[in-house]
Parts: sequence; C-alpha cells; structure tokens
Amino acid sequence: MPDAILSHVRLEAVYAAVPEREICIEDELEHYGGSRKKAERARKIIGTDRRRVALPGLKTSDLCLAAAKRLLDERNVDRASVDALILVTQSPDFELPATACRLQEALGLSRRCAAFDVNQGCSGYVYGLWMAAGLIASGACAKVLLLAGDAAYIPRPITNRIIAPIFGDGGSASLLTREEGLSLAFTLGTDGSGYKHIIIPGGRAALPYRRIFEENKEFFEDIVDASGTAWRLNEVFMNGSAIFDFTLNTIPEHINNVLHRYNLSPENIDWLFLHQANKQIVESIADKVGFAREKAPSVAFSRYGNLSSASIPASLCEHFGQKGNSGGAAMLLCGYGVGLSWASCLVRGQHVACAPVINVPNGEDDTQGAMRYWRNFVQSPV
Amino acid sequence: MHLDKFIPIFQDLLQRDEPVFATDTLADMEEWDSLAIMALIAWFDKNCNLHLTFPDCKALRTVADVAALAKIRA
Repeated sequence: MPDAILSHVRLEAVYAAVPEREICIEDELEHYGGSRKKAERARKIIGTDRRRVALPGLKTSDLCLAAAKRLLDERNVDRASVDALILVTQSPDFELPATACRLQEALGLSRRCAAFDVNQGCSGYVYGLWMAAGLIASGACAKVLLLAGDAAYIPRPITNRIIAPIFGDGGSASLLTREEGLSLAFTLGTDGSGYKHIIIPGGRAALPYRRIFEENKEFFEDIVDASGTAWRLNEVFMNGSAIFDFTLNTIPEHINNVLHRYNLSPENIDWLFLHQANKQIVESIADKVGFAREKAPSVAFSRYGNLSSASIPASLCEHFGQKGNSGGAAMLLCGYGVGLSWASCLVRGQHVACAPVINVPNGEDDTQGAMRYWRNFVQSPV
Repeated sequence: MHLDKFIPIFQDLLQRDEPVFATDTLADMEEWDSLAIMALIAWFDKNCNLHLTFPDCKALRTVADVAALAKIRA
C-alpha cells in the first residue's frame, strides 16, 4: 500500500458547501408507517434526524464551485497561479468531458491549468489530497485546487430507509501549495473484492442503457430485498451489513498501522477526522483505536448527513470554521467506503484556514430548457 | 455480567419498548433489523472486546443466544 511522506506541501485552506434545503426524519413519518416511535428509533441508532439535499437543478459542480469561488476570493488566490484542478466525484455533470474542465472555465483559471476528474467516493477526499500533494512534492505543480463532493443526480428514493435518511449532498474546495519544511503523510488501500457492496450497477459499460426504451424497462423496476427495501439497477445499492463489517474490521487496523508507522499514539493526535459515514460508525472506530469520542467529531454527520467525499472537509469547516484555522493541531484524516477503499492523511504543524460551511440555494430544475439547449447545440454547434 | 443486567441493555440497543425475555425469538421482534444489529455489534466490540459480524448475528436465534456470546450467564 502506498505509504509516504510528501514533502514541501502545505494544506492551505479548506472550504465546504451544502444545499440550503434540509430534510428531517420528522417530515417523513409516512415512510415509517406513520409511527413517531419508529422514526425516533431510526434517529437514535443512526445518530441524526436531518440531512442536506440538493433538489434537481443543483449539481455537485455547483456546490464545489460555490466553495472554490469563496476560497479563491477570501484567500486572495491569483487564479492564474493554479497549476491543476482535481475534481473527486461520482456524480459528474456529463458522461464526458470531465467536469473539472468546465469548472476550470467557470472559475476563471488559466488555460495552462491541468484539469481532470477522479471517480472516488467516501475515501476520495484523502485520495485527492494524496494526488495533489504528490503533484506538488514531485515539482510538477506549485499550487493545486482540489474539489471533492457528491450530489445525487439520480434522486434517492425517499422510501428507501437504508439510503435516504443517511446520505446528504455536499461539495468542497481545498488549496494545496508548495512550502518548504511542511509535509503530509499518506497511507492508502483498496479491497476490490467488495466492489459490489456500494454500487450503481446499471448505466455504464457493464450493464449499459440501450437505445430502445423497451430494453430498459428492468432498470426502473423495483427489486425488493429480504428487509422489504426496494432497489433499482440505476440507483445506488448499498449492502449496509457488509459495509459495516468492512469498516469495523479494516479501518481500525488501518489507523493503528498509520499510528505505528509514525511512532504515534492517540495522545499525540489532537483530532481524528473520520469520514462521516454515520455516528455509530464514527464512534465505533474511535472506540476501537483508543480515541476519546470528543476527539473524533461527528457533528457534520448530525447536521448534514453523509456527504461522501465532502464529509471530511465539511467536518474540518464545522470544527475550525468559526475560529478561522486549525491552529497547528495534529490531525489524522481518514476516509473509507465505496471501492472498497480507504486512505489516511496525517497533518501536523500546519495552520489550515477553514471557513464556516457555506449554504447554497437550490437552483432551478430546468431539464426541458437544458434539453432544448443541447438539441439546438448539436444541430448547429457554435 | 448477569443476564438480568444484559436484558435491559439489549432492550435499549434495540430501542424496544415491549419487555424482552431470554427465550424470545429474535426473528419475531420487529426491532431485530440491520439498525439493531449494527448497534449490537458496536456494543459487543466496545464492552466485551468481541468482534461480531452481521452473519454471526443473523445466525443467532434467541436473546439467550446473544447473551451466551458474551459469556453472560443466566
């Protein structure tokens, strides 16, 4: 597994953005058979009763753009100085091109800026940091803008009580720059044998949409599992039990290995910023690796839900946003999930600028307008 | 830990209002679902240093079986 200290790298700033729209379990009693007791039980065990949701019209790119614009403006970053733009997402704007290309233009970055997407989810923020830091440490870049997040472009069925109450939508922007004397340490891993446990099976090459709607009917048919939960092949499927087992078996050992590698113990780390999968998982991991729960915040989950690759940045902003920066705290950032994959980053002696989480108003759902636009464009491209 | 002490803990993990008895069959309890199993695994991990998996838990039949895993005696 990649295990390296990347030198001359500064994590300068982290910003995060969520949709303004909040949905509470309280508003969804009908999906708990009208039972307040059942809804309350779900709230207690999951560890949240609310989440932020992007309504159709608000995309991952919009959330990341909001965070990035604010970061570039408030940190007085010369847009021409950004050498690379990396977008980590599983919900891009288009099948192709990479959404990062559109964002390069939208952010007013230079034409000399490299821009590309990376398909990664809950571990994706740390993967993105690793790539950005690697580009800087190698001398390929001096300044990298990392965007990470997801917003469901296929609405999560509100009736699915495994997925819907947990996942929120969010975006983030982080700036990494070259600075002598600073470094970030990384450890990453993958277990592809579990690729089926969080998956959208249909839509791409393995199970493609066909041109004829008749051949597509099965994509939109409910498949009901033993618990009575309905799934569809073009929507996210999650085998929650396999994911939970993976998380509790693999991640604590991974964190212990990172600590051991750098001769550290939980006492040497001020904050453990875990991917906000759910409160139960965050607390269980903290317990297993010997961190006091107060040192492993789960407030971002309680307020916004599981934000995929934006959850660690949102957690940092939630924690340090009011104060303005991380104050040189020793932090271990750890993401894990879809893939299955995991990654940790050790941040020490760095004052990472953080802003309060940004609220983004929902956009206008204008699918018909977009359809007209693209039909006209394809007919006579300009 | 004595079984009498474990029963209320188990009841709380399930967030079940109705009384729980050692002989109760798990499959008959509405609350014995993936949320409850997640809470149970986390509890055993923290309090008994016992690392259960979902398949382990799915194989359990009664409340007494759950208690027996942690060497909780009646």
